[in-house]
Amino acid sequence: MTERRLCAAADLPPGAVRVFEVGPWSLAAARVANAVHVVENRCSHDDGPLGAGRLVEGASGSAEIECPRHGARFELATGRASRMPAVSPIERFPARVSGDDVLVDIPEDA
Amino acid sequence: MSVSPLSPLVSASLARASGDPDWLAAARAAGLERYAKGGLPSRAEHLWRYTDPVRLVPGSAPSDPETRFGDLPPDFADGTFERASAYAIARDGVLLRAAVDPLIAHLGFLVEDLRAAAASRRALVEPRLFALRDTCDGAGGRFDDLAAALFTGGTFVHVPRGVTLDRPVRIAHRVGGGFAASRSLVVAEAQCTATVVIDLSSAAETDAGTLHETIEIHVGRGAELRVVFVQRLGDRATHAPVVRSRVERDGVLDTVTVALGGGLVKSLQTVELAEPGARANALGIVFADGRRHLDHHTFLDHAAPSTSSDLDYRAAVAGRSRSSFTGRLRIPAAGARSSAHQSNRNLVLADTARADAIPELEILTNDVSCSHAVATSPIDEEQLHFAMTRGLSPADARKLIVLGFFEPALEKIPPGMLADGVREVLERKLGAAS
Amino acid sequence: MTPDNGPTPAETAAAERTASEARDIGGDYDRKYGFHDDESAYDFKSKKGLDHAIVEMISRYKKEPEWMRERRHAALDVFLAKPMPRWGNSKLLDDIDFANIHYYVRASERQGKTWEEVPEQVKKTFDRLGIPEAERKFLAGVTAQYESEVVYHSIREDLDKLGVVFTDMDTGLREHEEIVRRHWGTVIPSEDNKFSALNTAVWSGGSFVYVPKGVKVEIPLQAYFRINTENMGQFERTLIIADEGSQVHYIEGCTAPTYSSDSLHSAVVELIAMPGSKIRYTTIQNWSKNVYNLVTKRAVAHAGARVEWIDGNLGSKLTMKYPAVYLVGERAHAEILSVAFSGKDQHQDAGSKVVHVAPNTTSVVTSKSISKDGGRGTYRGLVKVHKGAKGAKVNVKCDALILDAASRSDTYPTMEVDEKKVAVEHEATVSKVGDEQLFFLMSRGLTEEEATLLIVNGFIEPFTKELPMEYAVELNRLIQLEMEGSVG
Repeated sequence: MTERRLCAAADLPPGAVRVFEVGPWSLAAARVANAVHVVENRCSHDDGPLGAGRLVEGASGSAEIECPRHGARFELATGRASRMPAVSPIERFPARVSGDDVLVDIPEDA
Repeated sequence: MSVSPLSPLVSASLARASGDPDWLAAARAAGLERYAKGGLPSRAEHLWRYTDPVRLVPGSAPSDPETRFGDLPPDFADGTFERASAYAIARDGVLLRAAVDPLIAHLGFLVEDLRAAAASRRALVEPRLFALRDTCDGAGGRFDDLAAALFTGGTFVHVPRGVTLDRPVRIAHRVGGGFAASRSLVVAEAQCTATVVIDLSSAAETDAGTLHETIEIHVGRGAELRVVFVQRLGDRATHAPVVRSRVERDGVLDTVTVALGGGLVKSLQTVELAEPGARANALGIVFADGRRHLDHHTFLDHAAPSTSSDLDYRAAVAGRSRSSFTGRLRIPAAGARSSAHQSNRNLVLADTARADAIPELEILTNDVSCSHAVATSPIDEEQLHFAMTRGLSPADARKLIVLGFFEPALEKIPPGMLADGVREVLERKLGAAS
Repeated sequence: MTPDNGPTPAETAAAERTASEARDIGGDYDRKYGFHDDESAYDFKSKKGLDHAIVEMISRYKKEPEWMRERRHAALDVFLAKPMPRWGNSKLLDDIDFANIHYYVRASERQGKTWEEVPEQVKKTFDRLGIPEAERKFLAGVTAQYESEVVYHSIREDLDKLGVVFTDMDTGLREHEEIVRRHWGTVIPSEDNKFSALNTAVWSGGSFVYVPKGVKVEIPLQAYFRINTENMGQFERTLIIADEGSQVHYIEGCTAPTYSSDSLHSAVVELIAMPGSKIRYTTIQNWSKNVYNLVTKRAVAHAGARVEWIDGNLGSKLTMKYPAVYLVGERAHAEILSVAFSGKDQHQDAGSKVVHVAPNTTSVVTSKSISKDGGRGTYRGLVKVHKGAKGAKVNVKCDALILDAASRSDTYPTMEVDEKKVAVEHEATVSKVGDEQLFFLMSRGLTEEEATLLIVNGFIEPFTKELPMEYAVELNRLIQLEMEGSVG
C-alpha cells in the first residue's frame, strides 16, 4: 500500500472539488456526501482541467464531474466517460476519509 | 499568465551583460523586456497544445557553468584532424575550447566563443545575431527572448566566402543538472560549403537540468551548409531548442535532426527561404521510449519565388512515450513557383505510446507544387515475417526494420562521426523495448 | 486525379452530363422543392439581442416542457461565459455583433423588400439555374413566407406506416418528448463550444428523424433550410436516430443562393447510428455571401454502423464546419466527403473529425477545396485513435485547387494516435489547374473557360457522383456560375 494523506477532511467539504499535485500526477479530489473520489485532473477528450469543473448528477443518479471546457462528463465512482465528447475513461485512485484526513492510494509505478 | 520568477532573471541578465559590448547588453535587455511583457504562450495556441509551456520556465537564473567537460566523445579521441576541420567542446552553454586544423587555418574560418566574437568581431556578429527572431512570424519567440536575455555563452562558427571545408566542424555540448541558456551563430558566407555536427549530452544520466538554446543559421548566396544535431540527453533533462535559419539566393541548407533523449523536449526549427532558388532539406528522426515527451515543430517559409523544400520527419515511439510533430509549411503570395513537400512517418512500437502529427499547409498562391503525407502504423507484419524467414530472431528483425526506417537520415551523418553511436543507442533502446 | 494528366473518362463523362442535363434544371423545381404552408398564423419575432428574457420568451412561445426551458437558460449562461474561439478566422468571428441579431423569427410579413432591390448577381443566378418566377421572389426574400422553422416535405404515407418519424424538431419535441429527451444534446452538449451553446439556447426548427429497427428508408428525406430576413439568426437543431439495422438518407439542401444582409447561421446536428444501421447525411449549402455559417455536426456510430457525411459548401462569408463521427462500436465505419468552393471575400473553413474508439473501426475522409478570386479554403481535420481501437484504419485525402495567384489554401490536419495496431494515412496536395491539361483540352477545341470548368468539374467528381442526380447537376451548374469570368 502506498496510501498517503491528501488533505484534511475539513478542507474537502461535501460538494467541493479541489486540485492536488502529487508526484507526477495532477489530481482532482471531489467529495459527494460522505464519499471521496480522486481522479486524474485531465479530461480524456482534450486534456481539459477536470478539477475546475462542476459536480453533476448523471442520468443514472451517479455522481459525475463535468469538464469545464467541452462539457464531457465522467462517473466519479468508476472513471467511465458518461457524456460526449469524451469516450475514454479517466484514471481513478482509491480514496477514503480516515478520521480527520483524506487518504489516497497512488501506486508507485503509476 | 504571469512569468515567474522574473526578478532573479533580471539580475542574472544584467550580470551576464556586464562583460558584453553595449549593443549586446542592449539586446539582452530588449529580450528580457519582451519576455516579461509577452508572458507565456497560451495552451490554446496550437503549438503549445501538447506541451505545457510552464514546464519550460526555469525555476532560477542560470547556474554557473561547469568548466570541465568530462570524457570526450569517442570520435574526438584520436587527437588529429583526420575527420574534422575543427573540434569544439562546450559545457552548460559555454564554449570551453576550440581547435581548428592548423593546416587549413589560413582559410580563415572561425570557431569561437560567441560573446568573445561579439566584442572582437562586431562587424561579423552584430548584423546577424538576433536577426532571425522575427522571421517565420516570430514563432516561438517568447522563450527565444528569454534565452536572448540570459545566454551564458555559445559558439560562433563562420565560414568565409568561397571556402570549402572538406571535413565537418565538430562540436560537443554537455549540460549538467542546472539551468543553462546558450546561443550560437553559424554563418556560411556566399559560395562556401561546410558541415557542422553538434551533439548534446548530459554530464550524468540522472541530471535533471534545463537547457534553453537558440541557434541562428545564415546560409549565404550559393552556399551549401549541412547541420547535424544529435540530441542524447538523459531521461530527466528538459530541452527547449530554437533553431532559426535563413537561406539566401540559390543557397542550400540540409539539416539532420536526431532526438534520442531528454525527458521533455520542445523543439522549434524555422527556415526562411528568403531569396529565389533557396532550398532546404530537413530530415528528422525521433526515438521516444520510457516516459519521454518529445515535441518537435518545424516551420518552413517560402518567402521568395522558386524556392524549394523537402522535409522528412520520422518518429518511433515505444514505452509510455509520446512524440508530437507539428510541421508548418507556408508559401505566401511572394513564393510563386515554389515546390514544397513534407512527409511524417510514425512507427508505433507499444500500445502505451502515442504519436501525434499535425502537418500544416498554408498556400497563398496558385503556381506551386505542394504536398504532405502522414502515415502512422506499427511495424509492418509482412516485413517482420520476411526478415524472420531470413533467419533473424523476432527481436533482431524488429531492430533491423526500425534502423532501416531511420537509415535515410543516419546516412547523412558524416562518416566516423556519430552515426555508429546513434545506431548503438537505437539498438540498445530497441533491445530494451522489445 | 492528378491535374497534370489528361482528363479521365470520368471527368469527360461528368462534363457531358453537365452539358446535357443543365438545360433541364428547374423543370421540376416546384415539385422537388415545393413548399406548403400548413401552419396558420406567423406572428412572433424576437427583438434583437440576446438575454434570458428572450430565451424565456422563445421557450414559452413554443410551450416547451420545463426541462427544455431549463436547458436553454443553462446554455445561454455557457454561451455568455465561453470566449470566442481564438483559432480559425478570429478576425471575421470577432466582427459578429451578437446584439444586432434576431434570435427568433416566425412572422414574415414585415419586410418591404421589392424585387428591384434584389442584387443583379442573385437575379442572374436564378436565371441561370432556371428557377421559376414565383420561386425566385421567394428565394430572394421578396415574398418569403418561411422563416426560422423547417419546412419539410409531406411525409409520404408509406413512411408513416413504417413508423418513421420525419418532422421538424419543435413538433418532434411535442410529439416524441421521451425519445427526444433521452438523446437530445447527448452527442453535442451545449458546453461543447460557444456556438453549440448559442444554438441550445435559441434553437428553433431543424429536423427530428427516427427510423425504427430494421427499417430501410428507400427515398431520401429532404428538408429545406434558409435565411431570408435581415439580421436574422437561424439556429436549426437536428437529431437523427437510426435504430438497429435501419437505413436512412437525409438531405439538407440549399442549392439556390439566398439574399440577406449579414446574418448568423449556427446549426447543431446530432446523428445517432445504432448497431448495424446506416445514416447518410447530405448537405449542399449556398448561403449568400455575407452569412456566417458556424455549424456543429457530430455523429455517434455504434457497432457495425455506418455514417456518411456528404458535405458541400459554396456560399457564406465564413463557414466553420467539421462534421465528426465517433466510432464507438466495433467495425463501425465513417465516410466524410466534402467540397468547398471559396470565392471573393469568402473563407470556407471546413473539415472533418473522426474519433476511433472501438476496435476494427474504419474511416475514409476525402476533401476537395477550390479557391478563386482571393477566396480562402481551409481544411481542418482531426483523426484521433484511442487506446483500444486496435485494427483501426484511417485514410484521409485532401486536395486543393487554387485557381489564381490571389487565392489561398490551408491544410491543418491533426492526427493523434494512442494505439499501436492501427494504420493512419493522410495525404494532401495543393495545385493549380495544370497547364498541360489545359493545353490538351484546348487543343481539342475547348475555350480556356470551358477547359478550366471541365477540369474543376473533374476535380470534384468524387463528390458529385455521390449526390442524387438533380443535386449533382445543380452543383455543377453553380460551380460554372462561380467560375464565370475567372479566365479568358
